[in-house]
Amino acid sequence: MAYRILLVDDSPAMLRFIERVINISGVEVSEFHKALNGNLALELLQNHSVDLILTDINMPECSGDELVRRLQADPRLRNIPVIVVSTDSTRARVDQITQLGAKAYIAKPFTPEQLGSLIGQVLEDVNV
Amino acid sequence: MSEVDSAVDSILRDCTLRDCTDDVLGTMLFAGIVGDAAIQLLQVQPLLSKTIQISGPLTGTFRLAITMDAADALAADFLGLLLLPDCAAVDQVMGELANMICGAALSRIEPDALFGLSHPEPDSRPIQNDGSFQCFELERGLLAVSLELS
Repeated sequence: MAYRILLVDDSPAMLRFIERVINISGVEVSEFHKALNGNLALELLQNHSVDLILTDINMPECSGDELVRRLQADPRLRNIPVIVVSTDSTRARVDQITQLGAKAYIAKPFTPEQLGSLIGQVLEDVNV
Repeated sequence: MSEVDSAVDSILRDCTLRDCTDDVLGTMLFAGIVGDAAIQLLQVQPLLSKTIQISGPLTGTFRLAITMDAADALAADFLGLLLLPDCAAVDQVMGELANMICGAALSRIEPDALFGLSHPEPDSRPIQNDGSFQCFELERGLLAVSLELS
């Protein structure tokens, strides 16, 4: 099965990198969508359905935390699994974001295998 | 904190910074540290330098400085480009590199804390051996990182 994935990060370089890493990891993707912050991600989700969202935390206008919060508040969007991708892997940050509703968290740096495995696990949990 | 504790703490931070730099370079940029380099070698070359302000239970500054040849090569690898990327793209990738090393180091130094990191900003100040300072030779060029926390 091929998935539709939304990538959210304020760095175009990181968006490009994550797309490459997901392609290398072997996860089958039918569509990649990209947004530079949480507000643009929410706008995009008005017109496009996705199976998974990967988001950074520190972004201008609407951070990753705020994006997760707003997704959870929307009945149409709350079931889309969210993986947070961040440089900050302190326990406090991971607890904070998972309590808001993110399904999983991966800290940079990560290998394609690590990201691919996590994506596979999250999507399998959703399908079950 | 005693002098001995302070010295041990300093050594541990140096090791953490080195390990995190090597880890980030190897995992995300497919590069590695070849060896140590003297700060004097860095001080005579044009550099791309980024500074991040750290807030939270500890406050301070993280700085990354890299020679242009190393920055170009790392950015091309990160972006998967065969040709050298433009200056804006290199600058963006180096900002990401600074972010990743800083975040990784802080997560190891204080794993239970909640830190705030500023956006990486250009820093034209001369390179100095401040805080936990490390200077490395890469396959192409030189990279220095420093972390001052209080």
